[in-house]
Formats: sequence, structure tokens, C-alpha cells
Amino acid sequence: MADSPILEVRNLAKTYRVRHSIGRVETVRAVQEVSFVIERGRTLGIVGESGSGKSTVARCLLGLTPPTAGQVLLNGVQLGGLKARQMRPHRRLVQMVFQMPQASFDPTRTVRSSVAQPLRRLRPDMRRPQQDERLRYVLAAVSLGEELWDRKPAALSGGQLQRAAIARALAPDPELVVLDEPTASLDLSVRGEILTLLQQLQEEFRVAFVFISHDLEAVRVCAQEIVVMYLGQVVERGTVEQVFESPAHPYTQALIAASKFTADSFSLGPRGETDPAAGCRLMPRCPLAESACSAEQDLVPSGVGGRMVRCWKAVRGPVRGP
Amino acid sequence: MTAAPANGALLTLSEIEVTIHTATGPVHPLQGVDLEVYPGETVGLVGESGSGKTMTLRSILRLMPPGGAVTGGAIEWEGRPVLDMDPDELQSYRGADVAMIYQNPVSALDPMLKVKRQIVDAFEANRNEADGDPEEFARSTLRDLEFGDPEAVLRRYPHQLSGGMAQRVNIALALACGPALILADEPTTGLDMTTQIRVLDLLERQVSARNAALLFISHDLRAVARVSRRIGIMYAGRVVEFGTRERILNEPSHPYTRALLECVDLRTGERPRSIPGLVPKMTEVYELCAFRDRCVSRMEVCDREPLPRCEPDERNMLLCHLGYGNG
Amino acid sequence: MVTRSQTDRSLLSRIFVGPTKGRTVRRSIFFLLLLVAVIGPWIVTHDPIRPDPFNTLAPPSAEHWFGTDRLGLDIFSRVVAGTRTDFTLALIGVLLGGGLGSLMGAWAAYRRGWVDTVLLRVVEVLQSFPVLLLGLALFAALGSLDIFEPFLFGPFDDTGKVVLTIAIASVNFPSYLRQVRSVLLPLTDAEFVQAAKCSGLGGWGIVWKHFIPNARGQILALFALTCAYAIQIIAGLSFIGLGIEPPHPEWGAMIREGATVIIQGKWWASLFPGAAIALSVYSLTGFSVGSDTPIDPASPSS
Repeated sequence: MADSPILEVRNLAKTYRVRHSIGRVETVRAVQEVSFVIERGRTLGIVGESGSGKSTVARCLLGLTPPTAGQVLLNGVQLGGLKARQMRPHRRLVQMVFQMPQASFDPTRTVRSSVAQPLRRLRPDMRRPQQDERLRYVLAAVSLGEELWDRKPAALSGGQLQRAAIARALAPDPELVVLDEPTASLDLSVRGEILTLLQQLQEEFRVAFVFISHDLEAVRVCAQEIVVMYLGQVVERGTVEQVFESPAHPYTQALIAASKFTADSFSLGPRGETDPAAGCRLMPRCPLAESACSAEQDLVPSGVGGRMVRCWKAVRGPVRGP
Repeated sequence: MTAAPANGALLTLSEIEVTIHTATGPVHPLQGVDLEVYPGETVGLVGESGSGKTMTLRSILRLMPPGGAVTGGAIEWEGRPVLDMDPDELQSYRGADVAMIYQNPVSALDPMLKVKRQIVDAFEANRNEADGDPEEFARSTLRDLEFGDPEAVLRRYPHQLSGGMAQRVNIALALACGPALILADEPTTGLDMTTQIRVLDLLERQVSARNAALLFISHDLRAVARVSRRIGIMYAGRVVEFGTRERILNEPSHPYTRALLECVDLRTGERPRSIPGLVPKMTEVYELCAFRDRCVSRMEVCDREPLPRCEPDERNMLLCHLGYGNG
Repeated sequence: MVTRSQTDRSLLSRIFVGPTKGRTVRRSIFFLLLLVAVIGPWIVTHDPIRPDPFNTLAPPSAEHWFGTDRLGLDIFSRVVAGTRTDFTLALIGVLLGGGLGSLMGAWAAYRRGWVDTVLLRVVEVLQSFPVLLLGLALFAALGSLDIFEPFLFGPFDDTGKVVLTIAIASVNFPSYLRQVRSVLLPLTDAEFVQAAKCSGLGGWGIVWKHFIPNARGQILALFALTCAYAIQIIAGLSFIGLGIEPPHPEWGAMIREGATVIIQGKWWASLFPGAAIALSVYSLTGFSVGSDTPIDPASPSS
């Protein structure tokens, strides 16, 4: 059991039914065929822009929304068909840190009582004094000043609240924490501090992270493996070195160029009115598109070391911008 | 005090102070902002949340929040004092002289009006017949902003546009006023990374094609560096360093600028950098340097004397006891 | 809508001292009336339901401060006793309807979907009846039943009072449900609600611990307003002969009694209970949020 991955996602798919004004119901595929594995104590980065489906994946991992198809295996147990009561012991194992620290705390409650909530609900095995001790321990671990514990969220800065949010996630002793854009709404001068803290806490608490972000630099610092998503599909998957040193998929290349604000080297066309539902989803924007791209693309191994790419051109050999 | 008309500046802010009265007491978001914008140049202001970037733009347009007022300093537009303008003057100054692009592109547009109506209205309110046909202007501007089918976009309502499209429409709206200066408040912050650069480049290109000046503010130094020839760094309600893009990026002089540059650049293998300490509370007025509690180069003089102003030439400025050449 | 300076004060001073001087005065009047309702039986000068057939329609005097009515009942004592009747029924009716309405409103905002749709339809049906018609219908349906007889106690010593309370509750249920629902709708997908779900909190737990506290300001503001309205409804229904029947002391019924003799110049039988209603409603406005409340420019809610 110790060597089995903490989380395994197999062919996860999620479709939403969007109801338009009169009768017309449209099915939107938010996520299709997403598969990945997270080892204990490691960090997986999920990178993508709006509409890529990365937040939907996060919600499925937490059991906040049931997947339409596919499996989410936590410690080898499938979460899909579990009832609320059966879910309870697993709830403790996966926790989440949200993007907007101000929005992730109830404005009417003190920081301490919000941080205590998962501990009280998910650790019935601990007595109250033990819980209180654990609470002090996690709040101290994120170095949140004691004078702030009994304040309302409005009295704390974004960075301080995000520390509290990390403490809240770690409190019930989870094995996996999903970080949904944890630094996106913070000032740049605070970003490094939170990233360093996350690295330290990973060592101390031996917890695995799913780091969801559009900030490639931050993902690069924290993660060992990376999944790049575009319009609900995984377009590239590999280790940090593979993806950053030699990005294979044109979209990955464009994202990296954009994050350095040097888009001249590889830039995508504008995003169209409607996104394609078949073939290569990037085709309308890709500077390298050919007629063969309109065929459905599969995620296939490319090169060595388990890297996967969803682009027939990249599989044949390195693609570079014009 | 700088003599604005003499140096040919379009807009001069000298020692601007803003106070907002709230139920819990006064807040001082601006504590002496100095800024000059020359005709046709692109200027960027970088600062973190609470540094006073947005309030600077609002003070230029005299759009104060409830309970807020400019309590000190002077704003001059082509030598005319903005703070003394009467309502008629102010109305023609807003729009025809200075136009604004907002952070949230969709809510900055009227949801009930089609794109065409909005551009035509902006054009007609600020220009006269000699400037040509408003509809033709709308079409050609949208084409300049790389809309494949301008006619189709003109017929849309704002909610039918994507974020990137809506922000380009906002740029067209600002251009329709025919201003000499465009203010942009984090115009690309909510957009996708791959869309962001394209919108920034279009903005910069169209503004310079029309010989207008651009004052661009953002928390993201990289975005500011992409469009601006001169960059100002804001901290605690003041511009602490101002200089050419090259100078700011390559030889920053203020310790805060240096620290901020290190935070932006995350190199692999290295510990990610941050600036320890907290952003100062704007309920206080800072006579001394507001950054000194977080500063690595803090000296004894910093706790004693107010900030000296180093201004080697009219394009560079530094508020720090260290002075230039201490990198 | 509690301004920040108010949150720093103690709960007690926040209740008694209003944001303006006028509010504080009105609140004082209200607490005075409340006191009268509580200690009423000890300050009445006469038995409010024992007629004095030899002293009917006497004008105000030292013996009968507010005069007597057609049956020779002491009006001062009846106005005092009526305070308890009207306040109790209004309060219990509003608490019942408002409490249930707030909970269901929060539940609708939390669940959305069909729960929300069904609850909104129910509310629409309830609100489509004019208040008096609703009261009339309730009395027609329930007034003559004796199912309440075995349960009558304390303030509910009469079937009419029970039905009145139900009427007040039915009028308030929809307004609370709508108000609370609309305030909380943006919270359905708020991140702190998701965080609460991650911590294993169930639907009702979230409604109780997070939703209701976040609507507290609105619920309290609505409470004062609806209590005032409830007093008017009780008096109004009793005035048209529904609800509380003489000789039970009740303001609306007293006005009706007095109305028959007002053309003879006997103004006191109607005037004093009428003034009591007006004063109660006026005093309750001391708790609502109005245009004379100072607005905190820095607070995002104002």
C-alpha cells in the first residue's frame, strides 16, 4: 500500500447540460479523457487557461461534483459511487485551497473557527483538547501570527488569509491537497513566500499536491510532473524538465512564450467564436495547422521518459514556430 | 513644483494627496504622487494592491469615491489646472482629452446597447462632423484591432463577446473619443495569458498610431514593461522610482524596485523570492520612507529625515536616501 | 447593514442606541411599550373585561383616564391590556413565518434547482392573495374548527388568536423567503461554501452555520419592519370582525367598537387604541435601515 499512488484518475469525463431559454438543452463537454497519477508526497501541476477544464478536474477530485464517466481512485478506492456517509472517511484525505483567499472564508466567522471546521468534522477520532492542539500546531506551521487567529477575515491581508487557508487544508491531516490557483490573486511580493511555504509544508506533512495554475513559473517551482490542458483535453503530460526544457505541443510552447511576455517567438491566433468539438481543438489558432489536424488526435507517448502528447506533428519530431 | 507648460508635458501631477473619509477614520491612499506624461509617450505604473495606482488614475479624471477628495497638490493638463475646472470644462476634458479603459472589459460596456451604438455615441459626444462618419470610424477601428468581421461585431451586445473581444471593443471606445491621453487600468489582468500579449500589443500599436499618450497601470511588471517606454514604481501612495524601461529593468536603484524584480523572476533551483513584511497601512501619513521596515538597505538616516528627491533629468526620478549608483 | 463603527460596540448598546438621535428616541418608545405589554396586568386601573353598565361612554376623567366605551369598559385598561395581545401575536406570528421563511429561503439558495423552483411557486401563490383576503380565507377554513381547542393555552386562549397568528406567519413566510434567498444566492458557489463542503459539512449544516449568519443583517432589518406590519394586520383583521372578538382587549376590535359612536362626538373610544397602533408602528421604524442612516463609504455593502 505504501508504494501505491495516492490518487489515480482514469479517463475522467464531465459534461454539463446547459439549459437555454426555451427547451433547447446543450451538452457541454468540460473535461474528456483525463488520466493521471499522483504519487505520495509529490506535486502534480495542472496548467491551462480559462475553459481548459482544470477547475472541473479539481472539483471531481474533491467529490464536489460527480464525474460523468471515468474513475477517481483514492488509495485504490473508487470515489464515484460513494454515498455521503461512506464518503466521510475519505473526505479527510483530500482537502483544497482556493484561489481567492477573501472569498474562501466566511466573513461572519473568525479565522480560528473556519480553520477548525474541517478538524472538528473530519476527525471524530480526536478528542477536543487534541483537536485544539492540532489547530495551534497547523496555524503555527504556516507562521500565522497568533494575534490574527481570532480576527474576522476582513482584518487579514491576502497573503495572511492564504496561509490560514493552507492551515485549514492541512488541519485534518490529508494525504492530498488540491491547490486551485493559490497565488493568482496575491501580490507578486507575496507569491514567493507562499510557494516557499508550500514546499516546506510538503516536506513536513508528507502530503501530495495538485497545483492548478495558469502561472507557469509558479508551477515550475513547485511541481515535479505537469499536465497541460486545453479545452477539456490533456494536450501534454510529462516531467517538469521535459515540459519546460523541450515543450512538444504547440500550445505548451505558446503558453511558455506568453508567460515570459515574449510571444513573438510563438504566438497563437485569436480564440474563435465557437470552440471546435472534434479534431485538434487548437487547430483554428495553431500556426502549424494542416488539413490532417482535423482528424481526432490521441494522447500518445512521445520520446522517452513517459511523456505524452496530443499532436501528430509533435510525435514525429520537434515542432517549432514559423 | 515643476513648470508644466515649459517642459511641454501633457499631464503633470505634482505632490497629489488624496484623503478618503470613512466611518473608521481617514484613509490616505495618495501621499504625494509626482508624475509627468509627455505627448505621445507610453508610461507605465507598477504597484501592488493598495499602492495607489487606481486612485492615481481616478484623481487624474477627478472621479473620487464617496467621501474622497484631492487634498493637496496640483494636476495640470497642458498647463490648465484640472482641479479648478468647472463642470463644462471637466466634461470635455474627460473623454475628448483623456479616455479610460477599465479592468473588467464586460462590465465596462453598457449591457443594453449594441457595440455600434456605444462606439458611435462616444464618437459623437467628443468629436465634430469634420472628424468623419462615426460608423465608418467604428468599422475601420475594429478592423485595426484585428476583428475579422467588424460588421458582425458591431451588431452584438456586450454579453455576446469573449473577454479578449470585449477588451478590444473597449479600446475602440477609448479611441473613438479621440483623446490625447488614454488611461488603462489593468486592462489585461482578467484575460488568458495567450490573449493578454496580443491585446497589449494592439493597444500599444493603435495608441501610437494615433499619436496619443498612454498611461498604463498594472501589478504585473512584465505587462507594463511590454507596452511602456517609461516606468514608475508605486509604493504606499507615492511614485518611488521613475525611469526609462531599460533603466528600471536593468539598473534599478530603489531597493523596492530591485526586490520586486527578483519576485517576478522565478528561476529554477533557487528559492522563490518575496518581500518580507507587510504593506503599510494607508490610515497613516508617512513623513519618512514607508518602505524602510521591509528594506534591506535601511540606514540610520532613513529613520530621521524625510525622503530626498533625486532628479538627474526630467525623465528619471528616485525617492530614496541611497541615491543613484548604489546598485 | 451594520456599519463598522457599530460592530465595535457592545450588543446591548447596539440594540438600544440607534444610528441617529431620532432612532434612539423611537427605540426607547418601543421598549417602553414592550414594558407595558409585560407588566400590563399590574398597571391597569380597572379590569379590562368587566363592564360597568352604569358608566357607559364616559369621557376621559380622573377615574377613567381614557374614558369608557359603550359597555362601560375602561379604555385605558383595555389599551394597556391590548398591548400585550397585539405584541404577542405579532411577535409570535413573525417569528414563526419569518424563521421558517428564512430557513427555507436559505435552503432554496443553497439547493437551487427544483427545490428553489417549487418554493418560489408556493411563495408566489401565497403572495398573490391580498392580505385581507388571505385572512378571510384562513378564518373561513380554520375559524370554526375546534381542532385547536385542546391546545389552547397562555396567549392563545382563543381559536381566533391561533388563526390570526397563522395568518401573520403566512404573510411573512414569503417575504422572508424571498429576501433571504436573494441575499444568499451569490453564496451558493462561494469558495467558503465549497471549503465547508470539503470539511464534511452537510446541506443543513451549511445553511445553519454559514448561510443564515450571512443574512443576519437583512433578517434583522426585515424583522422590525414586518413586526410593525403585523400589528397593522392584526388590528385590521380584528377591525373587520375577524380574529379577536370583544370582550378580549385588542386595539383593532376596540376601534371598531368606538367607530359606531364617533359620529355622536364620542371620539375617545376609537382615538386611544388608534393612537396606540400608530405609536407602535412608529416606534418599530427605529430599528429599520432608512435614508437617515449614515452610510459608511468604505463599507462594500453600502
